[in-house]
Amino acid sequence: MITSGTGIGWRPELALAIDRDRALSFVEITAENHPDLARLPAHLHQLRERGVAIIPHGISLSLGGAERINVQTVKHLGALAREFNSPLVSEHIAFVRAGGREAGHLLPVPRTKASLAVLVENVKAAQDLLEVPLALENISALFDWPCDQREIEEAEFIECLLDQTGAMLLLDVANVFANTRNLGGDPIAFLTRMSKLHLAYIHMGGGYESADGIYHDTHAHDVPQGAIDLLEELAAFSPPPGVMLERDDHFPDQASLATELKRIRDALNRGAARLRLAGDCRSPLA
Amino acid sequence: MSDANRDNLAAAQAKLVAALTAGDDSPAGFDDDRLHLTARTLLTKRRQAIAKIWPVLAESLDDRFAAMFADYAQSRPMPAEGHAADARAFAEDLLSQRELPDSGCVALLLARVQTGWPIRLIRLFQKKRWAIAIRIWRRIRWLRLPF
Repeated sequence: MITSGTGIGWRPELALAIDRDRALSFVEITAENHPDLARLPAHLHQLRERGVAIIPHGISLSLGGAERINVQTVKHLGALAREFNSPLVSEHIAFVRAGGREAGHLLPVPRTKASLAVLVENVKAAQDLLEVPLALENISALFDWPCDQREIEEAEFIECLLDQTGAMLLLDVANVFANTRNLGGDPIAFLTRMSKLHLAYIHMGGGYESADGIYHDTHAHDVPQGAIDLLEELAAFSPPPGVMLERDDHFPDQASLATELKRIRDALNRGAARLRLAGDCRSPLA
Repeated sequence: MSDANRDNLAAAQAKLVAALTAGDDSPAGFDDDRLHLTARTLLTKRRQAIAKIWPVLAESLDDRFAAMFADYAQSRPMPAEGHAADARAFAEDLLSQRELPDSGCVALLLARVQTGWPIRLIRLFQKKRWAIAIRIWRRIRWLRLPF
């Protein structure tokens, strides 16, 4: 697999805690936070020398947008990958701007044949400019498009997208938790289908539920137990690739961060144990 | 693929983004409540990013920050250059309305002197004085003038 073990989203506020956790096998960097290759944090190079993989992750490419992609944004992802000898880069199945306005966040794309065709064309254009594989991430949203704009269900939409582009999936399990909570759907059925795709790595971010029952995917709170349970289910289907924690604000102290990572590792171990047990039951007795 | 595909998608996406960031009506068929909720989330995210980049600006406006930024953001889309540019434009707008407190003025002065002309002036409306900033190579010095 292209990634393994556990990782974390690198942020300057977390650098010390990341440095002290020798069990981390990869970190993800947000490409837009590091626009200048001449001024990359020295810590990233130190991690690289230690054997920690570094995965550039973009947030502004707007692959699902109607506009053609910005070549410079893709090239910057590629340049970061070259700098750190990264195994891959990643972006989102989303759009972030339209009609001359920036949304400031990832928005879901309509799930029609026409929008899939645009997305596929944009992804292929990005892949043509990259020397490493591209992984695409499922996002979370508080709303969905109207019925006539979702002729393809999300799982099938992602399957078609990967099939037509050869891209890998960056599976955000916490986003699956968030979307099924806020918009409905069966998270286990969704994950079962996703587990059969070419997985690059897995995101686990935190959030909270507001008084009106809406779940907010903030990356500023602990990972909800429901998302941890889904990760265990995923690991019980098949051995997953690398799994990483996303934390973007309200940074915890080192002990709390270690606890969050331990919850992830424990869920993976529980899932792996169930998978072994299931395998033992299937195999004929010697 | 036909360009009509992209044009149709562009129109649908533009209407959605306008509803989420500029207070336009929700496009037909969308869940109104959820779009309003998303719009509030986007605005909060934008405001928090500014508070993180320029804590002095947020602190100087104190409890007026959220409302003043909401007013501002209604007619000003987020710049493509990102949150730092957004913070800078918001501060410039406040200054033009004489609503920028002195500590915010100093922060803006220091931002202005980073690029372009190496000597910059700003009016501190509360103290009724000028402040000046000078950039020599990459070092920046500023002081309040006695008038």
